Amino acid sequence: MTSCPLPFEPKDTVTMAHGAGGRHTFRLIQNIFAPAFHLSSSQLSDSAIVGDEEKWAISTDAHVVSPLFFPGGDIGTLAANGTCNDLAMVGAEPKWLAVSWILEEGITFDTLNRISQSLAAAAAQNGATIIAGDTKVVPKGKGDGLYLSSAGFGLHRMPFIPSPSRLKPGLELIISGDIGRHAIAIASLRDNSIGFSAEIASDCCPLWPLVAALLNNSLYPAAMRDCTRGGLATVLAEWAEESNLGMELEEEAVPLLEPVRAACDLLGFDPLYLACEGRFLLAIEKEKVEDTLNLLRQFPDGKMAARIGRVTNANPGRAVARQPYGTERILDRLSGEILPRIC
Amino acid sequence: MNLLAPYRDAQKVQSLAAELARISKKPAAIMEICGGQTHAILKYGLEQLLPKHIELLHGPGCPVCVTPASILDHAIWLCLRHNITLCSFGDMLRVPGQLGSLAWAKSQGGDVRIVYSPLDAVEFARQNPEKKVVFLAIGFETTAPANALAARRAKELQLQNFWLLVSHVLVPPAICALLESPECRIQGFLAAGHVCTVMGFQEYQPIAKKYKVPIVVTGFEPVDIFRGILQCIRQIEAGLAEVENAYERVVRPEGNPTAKALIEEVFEVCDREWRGIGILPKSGFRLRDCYAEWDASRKLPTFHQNSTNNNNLSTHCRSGEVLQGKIKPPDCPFFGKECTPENPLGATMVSSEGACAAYYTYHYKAKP
Repeated sequence: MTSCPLPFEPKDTVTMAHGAGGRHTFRLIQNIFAPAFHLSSSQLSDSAIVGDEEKWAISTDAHVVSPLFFPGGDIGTLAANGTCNDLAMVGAEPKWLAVSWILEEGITFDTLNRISQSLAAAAAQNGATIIAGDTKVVPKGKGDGLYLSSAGFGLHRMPFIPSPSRLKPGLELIISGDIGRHAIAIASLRDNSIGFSAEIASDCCPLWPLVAALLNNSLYPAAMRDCTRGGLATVLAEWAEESNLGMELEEEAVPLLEPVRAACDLLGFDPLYLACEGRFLLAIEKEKVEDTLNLLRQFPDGKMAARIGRVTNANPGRAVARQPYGTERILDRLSGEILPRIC
Repeated sequence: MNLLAPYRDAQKVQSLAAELARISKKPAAIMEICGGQTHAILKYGLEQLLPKHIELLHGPGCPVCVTPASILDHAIWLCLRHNITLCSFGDMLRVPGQLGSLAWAKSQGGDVRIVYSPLDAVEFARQNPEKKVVFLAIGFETTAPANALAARRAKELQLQNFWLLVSHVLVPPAICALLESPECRIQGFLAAGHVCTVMGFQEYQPIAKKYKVPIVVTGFEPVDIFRGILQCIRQIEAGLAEVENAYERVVRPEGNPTAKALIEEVFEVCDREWRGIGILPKSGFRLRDCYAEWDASRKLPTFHQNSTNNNNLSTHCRSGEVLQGKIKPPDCPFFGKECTPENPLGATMVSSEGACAAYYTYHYKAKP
């Protein structure tokens, strides 16, 4: 027998996989940041709630998307929506944004103008005002045109802080719309090498209007999370681990646009792992499912909202996808980067 | 419109599974050759629908898994030491050689680029004459025509800054090697639909006859795979050993003559090392002499592995046995413990088409 030896690859450096939002990212936070900042695992969230009388939510987000402009948005819309969506996911109304700009020498004023305009417009859609910022310039070749880093402040509007720790068996899982558009829109542009032009616009959008509609009707999800890097599957796996309950997904019920499905078939991607920038998963009591869906579907970005599964006692700590064949598979956090397969 | 929907139809799959349960009387072990099929079988959980006495063995048809570490080391070394732009298919990036992986080389500042077509690498070389570009041309017969096209295009353009680093492998010699093994318990094969799309299936006739095994050309969707299994089991039950085509909508007996002619023009058959298996005679392609100008192994510096540098190798990995269907991934004592997709001990835990990675991803946690 010939063995198939692998070396122990140097593990002391960051690779692109550490930025993919899956297991590598999780380990980086767990092994380096959490101990350095004395954070417990329950504190490792995108947003935190502070304050005594009035409850404030704080979130921060960095944006390094390439290309800067893509169908359905640009790095500016992404920054405003991404930061505000993190606030919305803890039930907070976005109020203020602070934005830092890291500019690469050579970027044109025209580009900056366009991105500023769209950032402002997206902030306004979220009801947030930009109140502080910073500008730095790095030499040509040291940045990808432009990076944005933003902080968001919002007023907490729920009787409790939605969190996976509030999940209970019997709660139903709802996705706010079709998944995967953002990832495919970006993949079809990146390096111009994918060889197909997908007419798919990013799903990047503000989630607060959808969440606000639910709260105004006293529909309070036990947990909410936007399905960004790592996609819906990673959120389900995280919720299962964090709650030590089972997450059961009906794979066929997950809304998916046909061009997204086709692109996934072509490239060998699993749509459940594709990043969205304007979709969120929520868990709510069974009797509130119909009202929740009806409300979400009134919004253009919630038109395809669907019930996709439930929280169970079975399979504690695991997310399981049930397939139409009567079979099932495990959904784990994304491992490594999503790479197109060879053939 | 979803062209694949009929081949993912749940009712059709269930009725094929019922038919299989009805006709299958005796225990049978059949091997699906292709990693794409392994991946689909595990992703859709198709094994859960099989009668208990039918076993699927997972074969060596994962191109990324069988590419030898020495080729990767050569690629990484060219990239980091000789400032070469290395273009590769995406899922090759995470597989380590002895030096590291291409993803690691990238993190060290190496210019590593993912391409979706080898012609994109040629085009990149044409547009950037100041850069030296190498395309890592790996895979089975499936990727050979596109890689051959890249070589032909480079020759047409008379590019002076583009080379192919070739490590092509072939399916029929691997099937024969598996069947020659004294421990072999494979009673039938699902041949890889994509490979047969290019090559046809006439070359499998003598194998079926000599070794008395049914070989069924099979596709990749749940309905396709169940049809392949059903036809294979029918033959086993009837004591037949024929080559059948269960992927007629794509595969013709003679394959794709244009693609085959292109392969013939550019490549010739050679001995090849398979990772985890060893050197198999006449089991791969290399560039013909008339394409030597674009052959990285002949025209660029040769990399000599430091043989004393084996200390950091993991020697207990059993992926060679996994690739030959001798053991299932969970039978390996390291599976899911020392060996995970984050910390792989073998290539089969790295690639999305590797059997270990597919088991881990789709079913590992389901195990009590």
